[in-house]
Amino acid sequence: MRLVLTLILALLLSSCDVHFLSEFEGRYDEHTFEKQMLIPTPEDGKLDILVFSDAHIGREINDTGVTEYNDELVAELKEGGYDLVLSLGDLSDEGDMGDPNMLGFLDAIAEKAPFIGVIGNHELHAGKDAPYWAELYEAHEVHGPVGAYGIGEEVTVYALDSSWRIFSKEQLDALEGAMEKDDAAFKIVLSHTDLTSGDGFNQSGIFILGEAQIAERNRLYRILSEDGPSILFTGHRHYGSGVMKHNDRLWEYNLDALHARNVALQSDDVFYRVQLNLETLTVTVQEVLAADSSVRKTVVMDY
Amino acid sequence: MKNLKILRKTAILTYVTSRLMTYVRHLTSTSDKSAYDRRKSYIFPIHYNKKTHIFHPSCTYLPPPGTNKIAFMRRFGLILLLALASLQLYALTYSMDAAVSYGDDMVTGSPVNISFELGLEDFSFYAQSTLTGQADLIAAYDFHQGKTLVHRLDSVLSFTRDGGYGTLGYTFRQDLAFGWFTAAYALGIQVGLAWSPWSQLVTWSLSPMVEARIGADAGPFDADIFLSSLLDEKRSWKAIWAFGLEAGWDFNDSWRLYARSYASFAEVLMNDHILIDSWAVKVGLVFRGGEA
Repeated sequence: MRLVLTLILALLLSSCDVHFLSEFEGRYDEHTFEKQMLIPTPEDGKLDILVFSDAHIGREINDTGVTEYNDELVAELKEGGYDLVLSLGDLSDEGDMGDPNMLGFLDAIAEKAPFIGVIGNHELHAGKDAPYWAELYEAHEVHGPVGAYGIGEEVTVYALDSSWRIFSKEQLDALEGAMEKDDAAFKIVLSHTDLTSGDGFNQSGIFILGEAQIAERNRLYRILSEDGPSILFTGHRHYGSGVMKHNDRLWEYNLDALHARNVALQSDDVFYRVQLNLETLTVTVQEVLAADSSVRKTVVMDY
Repeated sequence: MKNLKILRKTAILTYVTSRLMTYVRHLTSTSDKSAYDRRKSYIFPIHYNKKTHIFHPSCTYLPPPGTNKIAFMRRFGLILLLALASLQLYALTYSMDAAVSYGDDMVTGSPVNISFELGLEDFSFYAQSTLTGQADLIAAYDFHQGKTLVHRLDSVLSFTRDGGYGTLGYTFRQDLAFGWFTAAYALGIQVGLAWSPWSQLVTWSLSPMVEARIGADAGPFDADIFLSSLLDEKRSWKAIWAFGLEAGWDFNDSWRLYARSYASFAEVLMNDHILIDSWAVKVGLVFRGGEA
């Protein structure tokens, strides 16, 4: 009996590729979120951003639309006059770093506007995590997946790595240290994993396995509030489009997916037009259906 | 009923003495009133926010880094000593389990974890704290059915200065023995609420609880291997799995020394990559006393 169960346990473990927390030692320090200046503050005080999440390029299971709306998004970029593009991870479905569809999409976006991308849990599917994706992104002029990027002195975009569905104390220590010193009037924070879950976004809280660990979530709420005002953009959920005002200095917007419409991860193929008005400190988000560029929803967040 | 009365007396005695000691320390202290207020909040860690209508732990509950930790530990030590005196006084069956663990944890960042468990008849109370300021309190009550079945109701409260979560759980457990060989399994369900003073939102979860153990029990020595979401040191508001080894030595009816090593992972990703996000080696000493 004991031998059988031991063998079963050994078999289960041997079928997995096990990563140890020691792999993360030294990954984050006070230099992780040193601000790199990307672009100057827009002269009219309005920052126009295109945001999308969960493209899942390369997805085959129950989904034929893996690249269906890539062209629509690039066309929107051509016409929209955006200052910045943000991707919230799961750009690749299987973590295939050589996928020509994904690389072409990265290049097409990076040609049009400064592009910051975080990575999600699907980027890890081939066993390559943030340091590997940082190299790939650099080669394709994409910023990220971890770092701080200045839009002049007024705005800072923080890209966080939550691809393992854990931020780690070291990363949050580095973030807190950087945000405390950051005098920017507004902070935009990117994370693939959503912080708010359960009935907060009208989603099931049953058998939660993947969301942020509560101590980390609560710490992020505090950091982003104390050192805000901030907006936190998150993805991962697909069935998202949830918006939550946590307090007067922190909003969280959980985005629906650009692709992936299978049964388990229902979504409507959307991207988001975001405008930050630095004079009034308001963020206006338009949820746009990629198929026909119609606006499905508009949300105004003020501080 | 008798147990409940004794428990209530013990709680009252502990509370009153603790409050008295706080005042004594306040009177003899040279520090200012704000320092006294901070101490006072140790006793009432949960505050009610009138604006958000939610309860949350006081942000001053845990001492700021580098300060007051000794006072904090002294307070718990005092309460435990008083509890022990009460137990002896009322001649209850009880057990105490003090343990320290060393390891690593990506979330708490604390290699050292200190824990204490008090068993009182069918009740048990477990408290642990990391050096980085995360504290967990667990209270449980066991209903025994026959020789092998146990129904357990438990409640977990876990918090840091930034908020926390509370859970209520039910588990069904069966312990089996086949000569020297032992096996146990437990199945349960847990409902949880999480809060933060930095958010208007209170979120909920419903999570499974599972444990499976196999091992051997040969006289004073026993050992198990396990896969569990029920380890007290890894309780969460969602399923966090741990596997490991545990071995113990009962040197007599009263004393037991045990060691447990475990590694935990939050989940198995779809591609079979798993991240071991914490590990620890824990050593504990158990004392059983009172009327057996």
